[in-house]
Amino acid sequence: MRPEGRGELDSLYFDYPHFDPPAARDGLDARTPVAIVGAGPVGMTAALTLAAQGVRSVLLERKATFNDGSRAICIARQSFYILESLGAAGRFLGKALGWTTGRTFYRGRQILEFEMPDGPDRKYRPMYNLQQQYIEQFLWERVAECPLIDARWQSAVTGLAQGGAGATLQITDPLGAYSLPADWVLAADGARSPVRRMCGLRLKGENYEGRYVIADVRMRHDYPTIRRALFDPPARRGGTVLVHRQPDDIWRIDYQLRPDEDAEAATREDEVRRNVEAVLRDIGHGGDYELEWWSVYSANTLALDDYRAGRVFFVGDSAHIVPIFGVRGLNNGLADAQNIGWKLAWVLGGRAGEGLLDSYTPERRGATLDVFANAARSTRFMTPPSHGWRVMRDAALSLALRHDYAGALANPRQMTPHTYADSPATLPDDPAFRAGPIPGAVAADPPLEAGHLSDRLAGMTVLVFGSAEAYRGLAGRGVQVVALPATGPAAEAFGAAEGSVYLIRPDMHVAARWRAPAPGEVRGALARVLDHSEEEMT
Amino acid sequence: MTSPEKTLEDVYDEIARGIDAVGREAAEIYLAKVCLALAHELGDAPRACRIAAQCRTDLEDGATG
Repeated sequence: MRPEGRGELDSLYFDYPHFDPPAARDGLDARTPVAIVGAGPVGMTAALTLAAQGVRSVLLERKATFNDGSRAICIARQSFYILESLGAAGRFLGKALGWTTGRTFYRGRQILEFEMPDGPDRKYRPMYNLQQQYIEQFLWERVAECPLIDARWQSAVTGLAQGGAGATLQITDPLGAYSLPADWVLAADGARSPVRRMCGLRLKGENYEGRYVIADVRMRHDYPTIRRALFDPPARRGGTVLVHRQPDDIWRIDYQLRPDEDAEAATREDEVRRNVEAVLRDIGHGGDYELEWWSVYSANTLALDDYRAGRVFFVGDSAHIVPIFGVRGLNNGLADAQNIGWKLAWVLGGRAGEGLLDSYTPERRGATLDVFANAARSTRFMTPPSHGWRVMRDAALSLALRHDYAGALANPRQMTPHTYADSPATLPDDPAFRAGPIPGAVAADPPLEAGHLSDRLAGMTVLVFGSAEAYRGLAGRGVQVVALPATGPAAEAFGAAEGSVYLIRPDMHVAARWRAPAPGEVRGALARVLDHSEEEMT
Repeated sequence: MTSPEKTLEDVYDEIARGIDAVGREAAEIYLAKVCLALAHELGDAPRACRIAAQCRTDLEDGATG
């Protein structure tokens, strides 16, 4: 929503482009390997991930422009690796504001400051703030120049039928209607996913609900890019407020609504202004401000039981709705898109069997359940539901004044990437390891003599410490062999010794590792992870 | 705190004095704080959870009589 007198896309600082429906009508109904429904950040990331592996797609968006308002603003470190794989990281780094520090205030007093893991050796900062419309614009710039992506705006999916080895979508745009047959469908069509409804599926979850007003204001406010969490502030007694800086002098103010507050009344302009002004007083801003945009975000912890329905995969908000504190809505959506994107590309390219796709739900739904567990904790801390939780919360806050370990209890969790422990594409760990990322976890990214290890990762990587001679024969068909010294910082980061081997997937997650593999063990693991018989691998 | 001659009796005394010192209002939060701090020092969260669960028993009136 925007202040009275301004249209939905009438931003103080961003010009929304307008996209026409496809003018050339011939061939719109030609079969496509992948149809992606929804051209938000998640749909575009899926399309770009597929394209990076040489797979064509049709990208359908019912609107004529980007999403209104700034919505998701926090991009986590791991998401930057995804953006990098799409060739888009540079554009984002040029605009986004990186940050490492959070400050927590209790009743107006700063009680703790925490630093997320960071250092000069790290390629990216732990978190970046950037308005969603810039996220969409920068991804769109890549999509628009990509010949493998056929993007169609103002194109609504009005029907879906599955059968045989594919699905047929009914598409309606202002110039007509047509059928689009596809081998696979990625539903990235958001929280109210029409595709989900057409498949007869519903999100399920706990009956916990959190509602937040998220408001953006433009103001000259002298404060670094530090996330401020205000517990029980004068502006919202008993509630919690988050304050984030964004580019272009835009500031995000999130505040949770009490259960007895009416969402409609709470989102009236005068009420939003009253609350925003109270928060600005709390953070010591005495100058002017302009209200840019606001919305109410209602977050049940909801997810689909299975992120797949036949030839349809659900990606991002269509598969899960998460609370706002963990900043996992967008970040998990991007990880979903990359996860299904590389797997589908490998299957379509004949480099993996269809069994690889079975790992999508356990891996990405697992990540969602992880968010739920953390979100429930964060919420209990921010708004204690009973006397017991309140006593413990106050005890932790009191302890946090002098002890950092207690402060950890007060962090709105800025989560680390999920470890895919229960995935058919994750092989059992080698107990001989004492350190390093376990199978399912994201690989370390140590600095090398020039650049970082991630600069050398591409496709499926057999990472060998010491001599890689024995593994040269594994290279090809998307698999590469990379050798690193058996001693030094990189070997330490992986807990590796001479002869140790890691198998690292295109999304940087570790699939398997061995301190000292037996002959044939790595080849066999590759075949298992990629759902190939070993004969095919040779 | 690390002096070897201290016993559980000294802990008993210290916490009793603590409850009195902070007053009725803050006693509950004080005790919760002590528990969290001790659990942190213990460094064994599953054990701390078991102990906390066990301590729920025998709290009715007359349990000591």
